[in-house]
Amino acid sequence: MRSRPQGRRVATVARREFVATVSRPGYIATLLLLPLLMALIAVLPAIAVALAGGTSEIVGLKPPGEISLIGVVDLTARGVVDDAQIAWHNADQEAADAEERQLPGSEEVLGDKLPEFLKDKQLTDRRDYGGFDEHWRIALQRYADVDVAREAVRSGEASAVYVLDADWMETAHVTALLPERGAMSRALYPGKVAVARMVRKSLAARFVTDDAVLERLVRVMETTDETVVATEGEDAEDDGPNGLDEGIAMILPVLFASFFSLSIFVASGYLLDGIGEEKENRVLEVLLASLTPEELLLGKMIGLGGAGLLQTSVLLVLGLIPMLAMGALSLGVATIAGMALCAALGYAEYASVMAASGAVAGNRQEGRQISAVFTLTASSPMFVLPVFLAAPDGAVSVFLSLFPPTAPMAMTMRLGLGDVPLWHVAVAVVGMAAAAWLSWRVGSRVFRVGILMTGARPPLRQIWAWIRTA
Amino acid sequence: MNAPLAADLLDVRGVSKAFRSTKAVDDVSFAVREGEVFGLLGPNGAGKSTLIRIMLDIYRPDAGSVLVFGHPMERADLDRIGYLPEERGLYKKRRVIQVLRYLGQLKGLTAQGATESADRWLARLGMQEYRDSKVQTLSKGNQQKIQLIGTLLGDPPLLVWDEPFSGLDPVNANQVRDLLLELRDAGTTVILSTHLMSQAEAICDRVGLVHGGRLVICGPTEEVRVSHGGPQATLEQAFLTVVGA
Repeated sequence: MRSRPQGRRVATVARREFVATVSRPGYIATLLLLPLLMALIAVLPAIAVALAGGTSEIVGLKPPGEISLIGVVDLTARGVVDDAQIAWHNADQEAADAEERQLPGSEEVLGDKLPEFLKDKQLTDRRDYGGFDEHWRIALQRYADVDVAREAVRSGEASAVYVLDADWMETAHVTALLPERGAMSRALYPGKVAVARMVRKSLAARFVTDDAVLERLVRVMETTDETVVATEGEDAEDDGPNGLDEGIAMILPVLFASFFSLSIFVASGYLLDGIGEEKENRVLEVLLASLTPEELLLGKMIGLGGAGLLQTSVLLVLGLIPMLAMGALSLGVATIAGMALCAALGYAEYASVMAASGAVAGNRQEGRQISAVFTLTASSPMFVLPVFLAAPDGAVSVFLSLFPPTAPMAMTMRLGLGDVPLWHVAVAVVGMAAAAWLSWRVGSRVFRVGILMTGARPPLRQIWAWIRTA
Repeated sequence: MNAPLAADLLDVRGVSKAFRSTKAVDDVSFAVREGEVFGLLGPNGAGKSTLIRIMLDIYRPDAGSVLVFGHPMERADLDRIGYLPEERGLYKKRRVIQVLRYLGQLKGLTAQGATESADRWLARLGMQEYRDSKVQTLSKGNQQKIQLIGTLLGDPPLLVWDEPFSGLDPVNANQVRDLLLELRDAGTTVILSTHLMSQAEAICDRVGLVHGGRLVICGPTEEVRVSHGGPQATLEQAFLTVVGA
C-alpha cells in the first residue's frame, strides 16, 4: 500500500497532537513562566537599586540633587592644587546645578597653543564632564593632611578623598581614601573625574592665559551628538544620541534570529518526546491499524510543529516588543518573513530525521542522545557567531548559510545582520526545501520500520537497509 | 494450503520476512474466508504477530504478497479492518471517551459518529460507567476491553485480534468470547491469533498452526484435530504431534 497521506487523517492526528501538547502542565508552565522570568531578569537591576535605597547607595554618592563632597590632599613639593581652581569647580557646579545647564557641544583644536605635556589623550576624553552630569553634584574641598582627610571620610563628611602623593609629578600616583573597598571602581568615578579636571586646570592655568582656551582645555567634549552618515546604497538613519552601542545593536538582530531557530529545536524536541512516549505506552501499533506510518508522521510533524511555533511566537513577541520599543531593531517585514521561512524549512528539514531518531531509539533518553547529532549540526553556526559578526558576507558565513544542514540558522543570522544578496537567499531556500524532501524520504522509511522495533537499537547497516527497502 | 477462493476475504501468498539473520516468517500461504473465525495459532515467538503486521501492511514482506478484500491493500481498506495488536496501549492520561473518539475519527468517522459508536459499544460491554474516566484509573482488564471497543468502532467487516484474552479474568474472557461469536454470527470475519489452543478449539471455524515462522497445518479445526491428533485428541495434542514435541 503506497498511497498519498490522507489530509483528513493527517489533520486529525495534527489536531490531537497539538491539543495534547499545549494542554500539558509543562507546556503551559513554560509558556507562562519563561516570559515572567524574562521580565524578571529585565527588571532585576531596577529592583536591586530600589531595594538598596536608590541610585546613590549603589554608587556611593549622595542622591541626585544633593552635593557630594570629594576631598583632595596635595602632598607634592611644588603644590599642584590651586585653591582658585577648587573654587572655580565649585562655582561651576553650583551654576550648573542652579541652571540645570545643558552644556553646549563643541570641539576645538588647540593646536600649537597647548603645552606639550598637556597633549594627553585624556584631554579629549568624552567622559571629561567634570563630575557633573544629570545625576551627580560634586563639591571639592582641600584637606590639609591625610589624617584630617581620613577622619572626613570616616565621619561621612567626604565621600572620598584623593591624595596626590609626594612623587605625583613623576609617577601620577594618587591614593584614594574610600569609605569601602572597591567603591572607587564602581562608585566614585564622577568624583575622580572632578578632581582630575580641577588638577588639570590648576596646571594649565599656570601656562595658558587665554580664558577661552583654558575653558576648552577642561571641557573638550561635554556633549556629543551622533549622526550616522549613509554610505552609498544605504538609507541614512539617525540613531541620535540615545542609540544603543554599535555592538549591542549588532548582536540584537542575531539574538532575534536565534529565536526563530529555537522553534526548530523546540518543536523537534516535542516530536522526539512524543514518539518516545507513544513507543513506551505501546500506542503506536494501535494507531498504525488506522493510519499509514506516513500519515502518522506527517500529522505529528504538523501538530507538534504548531505547538512549538506557538511557544516560540509568544517568546518572540515578548522579546520583539521591548526591542522595537528600544529602537534596537530595525528589521523590515521582508527580513522577518525570510527568517520565518528559514525556520519553517529548517523544521521540515529536521523533523523527519528527529522522528526517525525517536523511532529507532529504545527509549526517550536514547532518542535524545541520537538526536543530539542533528541538534548540534543545526545549531553549529551559533558556535562561530563571532565570525558572523565580523564578516556576515565572509566565506564561512556564506558557506554555512547555503549549506542545507546549517542554512536554517546561518541564513537567519545573516538576514538579521544586514543585506543578503537575493540569490543567496534563493539558493538557501531551494537547498533547504530539497533537504526537507530528502529528509522526509529517509526519515519516513526509518520511521515506518523502526517505530515498532523494541530492544536494542539497530546498527547503522540495518537502518540503511530499511531506507533502501522499506 | 488453500487455493484462493472468490469468497476469500484475505489471501496470503508465499510471504516471507526476515529481521537481520532471523527468518520470522517463511513462505506462508493461507486464505481466510468471509464470515469465519480463523485461528492463527502457535507458541510465543512463532511469527504470528509478524505475519499479522505483514497482512496489515505495517511491515513489507521480503517475498510474497497479500490480498485483502480481493486486492492488494489500499489506504481505504484500513478503515474496514479492526486491529487489536499484541503490543497495545492507550493514552493513559486521557479520558476513555476522548481516546475512543480519536480512534474512531482515525477510522474515518466524524466526531459525532465516533462518539455514538463508542457509546454503543461501551454499553454493549457494560463499560458505560468508565466513559469519562481517565484510562490510567481503569484495571488492566478494563483497559483491554476499551482497546477491544476501539477495534469495533465503525463496525468493520474484518477484525484481527492478536491475543485478545491475555490479561483477562475468566469472566471477562467469556464475555469477549461471546462477543466474538456474536460478531461472527452477524457476518464479521475474525482472525484470532492466540497461543491458547483450548480457546481456539472452542471458537475457531478453521485454524492455521504456525511454528518457527512456517505454517505447519491449516484447515477446519475439527479436521486438523482429528487428522493430526486422533479422535480423542485435543487441538494442542495435534499441534504437538505435528511439531514433534
